[in-house]
Amino acid sequence: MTENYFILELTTSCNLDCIYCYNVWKENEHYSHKNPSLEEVKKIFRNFREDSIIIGVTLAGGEPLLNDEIFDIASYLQSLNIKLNITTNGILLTQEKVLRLINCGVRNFEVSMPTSDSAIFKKLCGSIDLKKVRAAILEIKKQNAKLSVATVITKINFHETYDIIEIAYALGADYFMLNRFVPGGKGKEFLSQLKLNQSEIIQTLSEANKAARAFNIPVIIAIPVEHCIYDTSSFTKLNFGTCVCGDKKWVIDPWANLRCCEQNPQILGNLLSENFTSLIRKNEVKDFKINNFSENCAEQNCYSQCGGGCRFCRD
Amino acid sequence: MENKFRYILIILAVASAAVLYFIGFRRMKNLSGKKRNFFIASLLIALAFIGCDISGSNAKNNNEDLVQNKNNPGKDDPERIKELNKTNEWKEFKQFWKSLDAIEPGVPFDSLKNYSYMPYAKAKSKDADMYDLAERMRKKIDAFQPGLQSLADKNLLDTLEIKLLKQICQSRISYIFFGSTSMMTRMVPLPGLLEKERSILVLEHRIDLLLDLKKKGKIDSTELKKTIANINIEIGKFSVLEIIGRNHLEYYPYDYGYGDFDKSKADTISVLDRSILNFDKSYNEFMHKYDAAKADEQAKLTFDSYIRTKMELDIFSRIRPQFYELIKDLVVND
Repeated sequence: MTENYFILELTTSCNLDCIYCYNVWKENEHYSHKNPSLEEVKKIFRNFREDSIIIGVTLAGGEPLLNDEIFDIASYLQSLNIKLNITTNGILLTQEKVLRLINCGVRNFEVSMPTSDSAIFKKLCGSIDLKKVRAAILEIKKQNAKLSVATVITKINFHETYDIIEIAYALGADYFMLNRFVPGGKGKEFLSQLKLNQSEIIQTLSEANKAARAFNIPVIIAIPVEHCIYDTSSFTKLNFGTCVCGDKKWVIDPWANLRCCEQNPQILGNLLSENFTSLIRKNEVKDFKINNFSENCAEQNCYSQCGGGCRFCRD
Repeated sequence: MENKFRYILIILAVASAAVLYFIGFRRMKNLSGKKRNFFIASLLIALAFIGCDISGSNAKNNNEDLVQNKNNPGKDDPERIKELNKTNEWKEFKQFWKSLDAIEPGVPFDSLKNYSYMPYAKAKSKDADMYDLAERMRKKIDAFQPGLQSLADKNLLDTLEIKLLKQICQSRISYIFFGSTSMMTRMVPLPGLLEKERSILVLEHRIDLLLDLKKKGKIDSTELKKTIANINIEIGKFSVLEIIGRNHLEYYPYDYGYGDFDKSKADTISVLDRSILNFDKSYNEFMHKYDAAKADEQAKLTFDSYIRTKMELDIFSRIRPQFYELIKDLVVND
């Protein structure tokens, strides 16, 4: 029996149009629109529980609140004693929805706030609704739920890293998730505008470290950075993550396909017709893991710290 | 109602003893020794019932003042806040609170980061004016007591609210003027104590940051009002730890983490939750062993302290929403 953590993509729809979006269906036209139903989710998890321990599920998308059955799906997963989180852009979150989600077992809210500046929000997300995102953050904290604010750092917004963390802290975030831009999905069309170079990444980490010190808020570097390339020892206030994709973390897309990672378009198989354990034993998974172990990892013996970093960030 | 229940319990216990006595008398009349044991055992059951209840009555008597003081403010909250704001006592206290908000952040001496501490005597010699000002402000808090108490007499405040408001102000002054003053020596402070101090630090930090962001136009008035929820999280934490810490002697359990102290490192274990769990565990263990008939003076005092803490925690959980409204009025309203 293995312990696993799942990202459950509840819809391909989104009410924003972020140029950095990594969703795999944004780069592949053969994907059609899909919202899985409660019955489909039940079918997936019924098969699952026989051969895997599920330690948590994050409801994601697209924008997961665009799936009308989200509350029923959350309640069902809660009935299986699964820890539930949600990642949302917050725009559709009202007080009523926050309370309903909490009652359905959602314990952690992750709200995406890529900037503190309305003009940059328009540029990055094609929307003028930054105020609504901030209102959602306040609504979540009003209910005293755990809240992470997540920011995708790109060439366009890296200079305001400190300010974004400051606002996130002021609005009540318990954690701050700093995700450097990963080329994928729609983001591939805007690489030159978005992709950070090494010195910009170091500058971002430095600003984040300064903010973490000033506000005493946990800043989590969720997209792992390679410890052999970046000297992380000087960023003492940051929490560096490791890559657990294809090991403990898996993605289930709206069609019930299993993938190793949100950024990885490769489909391992369909959970409505195939068994989870047989899918994760496929050679594709072994290859996925092996291809992240570089010569540097062997030489510098730091693979355990970053899991080889994020393979989708490499040139 | 409770008295009726107590008498019913005693009658039931005595009746059980009598029934058991007669059954024992008839069925075991040749075994007089066993019969007596049966009766004595029954009598003991009855006495145990009464004994349990007696200890309960003592607890009630000892804490009668607390029960009497616990009057949920009778009026609904918007009305209570309105009524409070009509009184000079509350206006003066609010003005005092706002004067603390207005003190701009400097570079506080942080004993926990520097592994040192500044005794008051040294602080006095270093900056006599600062020391005197802090002392004057502290005395002012005590001077508010009669006025606030008169509001409690009018059912506009709860006595626990007054206690907590005063303690929050005392701690704010300590932090504003002297920074973190916990001693980091061979005996490190208790996790709950550190966390309580940290909650005041975060409270000050948040108030200063929010006022600054408002001034710079980075957040608007609506957002400022809504951020009060974050301030109240710290207020709630401080209050519970204050109640536990004041009445309950906390030990250093080995499983305690100091994780919350350095919040920049993600930690899933909350010192607050563990303090509450630790108190509950300790309370249950003590109550299980406590025997009112055999208790010495020390045990009785400890018993009172446990009961008081439990009751105050209970009161706080009930008045928490109203208390948060008070804090909201102090921070946000003019």
